[in-house]
Amino acid sequence: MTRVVLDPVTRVGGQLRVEAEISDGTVTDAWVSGTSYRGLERILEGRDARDAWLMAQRICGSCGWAHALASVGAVEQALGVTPPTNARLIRNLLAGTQLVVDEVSGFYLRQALDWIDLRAALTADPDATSTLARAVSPWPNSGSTYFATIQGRLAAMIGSSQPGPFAIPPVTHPGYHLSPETSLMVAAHYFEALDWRREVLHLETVLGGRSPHLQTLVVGGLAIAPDWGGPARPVPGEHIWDVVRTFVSPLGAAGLAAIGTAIDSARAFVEQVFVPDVMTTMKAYRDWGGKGRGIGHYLAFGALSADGSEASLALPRGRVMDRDLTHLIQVAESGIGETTAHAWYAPGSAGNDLQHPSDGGTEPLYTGPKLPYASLADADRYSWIKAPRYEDDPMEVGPLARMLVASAAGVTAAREAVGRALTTLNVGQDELFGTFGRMTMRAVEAGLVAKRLTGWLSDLRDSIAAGDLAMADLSAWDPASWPRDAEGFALGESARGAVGHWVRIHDGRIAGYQIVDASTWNASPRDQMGRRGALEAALVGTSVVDPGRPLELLRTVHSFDPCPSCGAH
Amino acid sequence: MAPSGADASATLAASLKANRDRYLAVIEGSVPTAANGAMCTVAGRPVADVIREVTAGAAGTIAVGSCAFDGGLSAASGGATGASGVAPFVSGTLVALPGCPINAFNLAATLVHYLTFNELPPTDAGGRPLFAYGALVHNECERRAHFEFGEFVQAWGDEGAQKGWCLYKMGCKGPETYANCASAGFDGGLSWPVKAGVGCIGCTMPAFWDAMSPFTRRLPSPLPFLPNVTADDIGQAAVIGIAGVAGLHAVGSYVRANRQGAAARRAKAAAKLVPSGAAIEGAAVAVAVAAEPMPAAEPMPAAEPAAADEAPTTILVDAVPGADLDADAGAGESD
Repeated sequence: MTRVVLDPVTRVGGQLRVEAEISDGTVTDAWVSGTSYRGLERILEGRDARDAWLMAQRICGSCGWAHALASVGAVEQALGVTPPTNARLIRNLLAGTQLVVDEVSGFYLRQALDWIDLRAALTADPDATSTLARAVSPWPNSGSTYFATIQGRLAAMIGSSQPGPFAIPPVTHPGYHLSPETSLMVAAHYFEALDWRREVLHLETVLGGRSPHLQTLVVGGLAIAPDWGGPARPVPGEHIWDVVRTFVSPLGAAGLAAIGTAIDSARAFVEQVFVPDVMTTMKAYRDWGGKGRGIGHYLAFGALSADGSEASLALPRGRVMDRDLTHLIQVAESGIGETTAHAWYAPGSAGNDLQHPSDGGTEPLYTGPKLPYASLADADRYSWIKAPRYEDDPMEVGPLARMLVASAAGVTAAREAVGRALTTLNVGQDELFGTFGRMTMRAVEAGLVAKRLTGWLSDLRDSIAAGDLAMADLSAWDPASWPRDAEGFALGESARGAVGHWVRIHDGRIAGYQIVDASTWNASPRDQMGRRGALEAALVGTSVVDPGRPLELLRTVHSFDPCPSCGAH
Repeated sequence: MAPSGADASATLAASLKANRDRYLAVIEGSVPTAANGAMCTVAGRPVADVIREVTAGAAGTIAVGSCAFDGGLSAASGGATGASGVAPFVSGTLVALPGCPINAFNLAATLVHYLTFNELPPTDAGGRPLFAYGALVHNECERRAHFEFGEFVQAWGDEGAQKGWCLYKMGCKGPETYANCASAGFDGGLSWPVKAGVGCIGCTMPAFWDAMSPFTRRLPSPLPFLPNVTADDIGQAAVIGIAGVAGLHAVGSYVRANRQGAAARRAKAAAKLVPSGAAIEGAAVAVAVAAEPMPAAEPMPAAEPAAADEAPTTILVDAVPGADLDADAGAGESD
C-alpha cells in the first residue's frame, strides 16, 4: 500500500490537498482537504444587508458573479422584492456570459494540461496541425505559420528557467496519448483563450463597471440607468469640468454595441474553438469513459430564468439519483444540510448532525496536526470545507450534473446537444458518468448557453426601446420599511456547480449568513456517517500507473474544476 | 503550472534558485495568522513560510490587491483568521497595489516602470505607487461637474441617474479615496464603477470594508474631504503650495490651450498631491505603457527621471503630453 499526497494541487482556485491510498495500482481510499479558511460568513454579520452581495462576491475572482447574484437574490427574497424585466435580462446576460467564460477558462487554464502533452506538441508538424485544425473547425487562426510560431513560443518558455504555466517534468507520463498535432492545436488555443476571455469580459466591465467584481447590483435590480431620453445636454464651455460633462450610459448605443460584440465573440469561440478542441481531445481518451464515476447522484439548483420563476429556468433545477436519467427528482431547499463532523469547526447546535443553512453557524476550530504536517488523512477532522448533503446523500454538482438534470427534465435543446456529443465522441450514455462526462459536458453546456445570450440582449433592446426604463424595484430600498426580522435564500449556479446563499436580517442588519458553494459539495470531506464527498468517491477505484506522478488523480480532480477557497470560504 | 504536489514545489524551488535576485515576486491574498498559520497552508506549511522563502531571493515584491495590502476582507471586523497583509513576511522592497480588484493597468505600469528604470516606482508611506494612488478619485471624476453644480442622483434610476449626475448622495466614496480609477479606467479604460452608474466603494483605502461601509449611504466622515470648500479652492491652494504661482499659470494655460479634461485633471492631480519630483516618474510609467503600440522611435521626454532640483513646473508640462495620449487604448495590452 502506498500513500500519495498531492499538495499543492495546482490549477485550482485556492489551496487543495489530496491524499490517496494506492494498493496494487488502484486507489482504495481518498481524502480531499481545503486547506484555507477566510471566515466570510462571520464577517458579513452585523452589516447593512444591502452590502451583503458586495462582500459575498469576493469569495472568488472567477465565480464571484454567481455569488453576487445568489447573495442579492437572498436579500431580495427576504425583503419580498422582485427585480424588473430589464434587470433580470441584464443579470442573465452577466451570468450566462461569465458561465461560458468560466467553462472555457476551466478547460484551457486548469484542465487541458492533464490531457495535452506539451512535450509532444514541440515535435508536432505545423502543416499537419493546420490540416487537423481546418478539418475540425472553420476558425481562421489555422495556418501552419501560426502553429509554427506558437510552437516556437512554447519551446522558448519550456526551455527557459521561467516556464510559467508550462513547467513540465523531464519525462513524459505514459498516460498521455494525444497526437502531437492535437496537443499543439489546443496549446495554441490556450493562448487565444486568454485574449478571448478579456474581450468577452468587456460585457461585465460595461454593465458592472469592472471585471471581476461588478459593482452595479442593488437590492431590487441594478444601479445602472438607460440613457437619458430627455432634453439635449448643456453644451460644454462655461467651466473647466464641462469638457467631460457628457454621459454615456452602459445601456446607450455604444454600450449595447460593446455587449453585442462580446456576446458574438463568446459564441464564435465556443462553437469554433472550445467545443471542437474538447471533442477532438476527449475522443482520444475514450478509455476514460466510465472512470472516476463517483457517487452517481447529481444535483442542480438551476439558473438563467426567463421570467424569474423556477419553471422558466434555462438550466433546470432537480436531482438525478443513482445515474437514473428516467426520473427527475424535485429539489426543495429544505432538503439541504451541512455537517462539520470532519471539518475544523466547533459543532453547532445540531452537534455533528446535518444542519439546515438557515440556522447554521461557522465557528472555526483547528484541531488538525501541528504544522508542518506530513499527513491529514489520519486525522479525524481534515478540511476547512464543510460537508453538505441533500437528504443525507452526498451529491455531485457542476456542468455534468446540470446537463444530466436537463436531459432528465426533458429539455429538448439539452437532450439534442448531449446526443450529438455522444455521436461525435462515439460513446454510449453510460460513459458520461465520470471524468469523461465532466470534461465533455462542460463544452456541451457552454455551447447551449452561448446560444441564449443573443436572445436576452435583443429582449433588452426591445424593452428599452419600448420605453421601459425600470431597472430596479426600490420599494424595499429604505431599511426603515423592512420588517424587524426577515429571512431569505437564493439558489443558483456558478460554472462549477450549485450555489446557495441564506441570510437572516434583524433590524436592517445581517444576523446570520451561510454559503454553500459548488466546491463545498464537490470537495466535501466525509460526513457524520463517514460517507465520502463527491470528489473523494470519484478518486476511489482509479488506476494509477506511477504513484510518484499520479496524473490519473489530477485528471479526475481537475474534471470537477474545484475551488477550495470558495468551498471553505 | 502543469505539475502538482511535490513536482510543483520542486519547480518553484528550481525557479527561485535559477533566478535568484533577478525576479519580482507578485503576491496576492492575505496571510492568516490565527491557529499558528493553519488557516492557509501549502504542502502542510503555513503560507507565511512560502512567502518568506519566495521573497527572500526576489529583487522586489509587489503585493497585489487589498488582501495582500492590509488583509482585506478577511481582516475586516468579524474576521476570525487574524488576517494580515503580506508586508510583515516580506524581506526587501515591497510595493503595494491595493484595490478589490486591483486594476491590471497599475500592475502592468509597475512592471514597466521596473523594466524601464530598474527600480520599483516611488511610493507613499503605505508602499503605494504615487502614480496610481496619488490623486483623489473625486478630483478626477467625470461626474465632478455635477457635484459642483449640485446635481445629484437621489435614487437609483431617477432623472439624475439617467443624466449621469454625481453619485455622492448614493454613498460614493470617491471624495475619500485615492486611486486612478477615473483616469485609467478598468479593462483598457473601458469603464469604471462610477461611469457604469454606481458609487465608488473606496476599495483602495486601508480597512475599506469597515471604514467605507455601508457603501450606499453617506456618513459623516473625518477624512480629508471638506464639503464647504470647492474643488478649485483645494486645488489652487495645493498647487500654490507645491508648485508656486508660476506652476499654476503653466497648468492653467496648458489646459486652456488644449481643453483636454483628462490631461487637465491628471496634471492638476500630479501637481497637487505629489510632493516630490520623483513622483513624476509615475506619470511617465503611464506614458510608457500607453505608448507601447507606437513606434519605438517615438521620443518620450517624460520617461527621463526628473532631476531633483528641476523646477516642478517644467516637469509638469513635460508630463502632461504623455498623459494626453490615449492611455485607455494602451491599457488593454497590459491586461
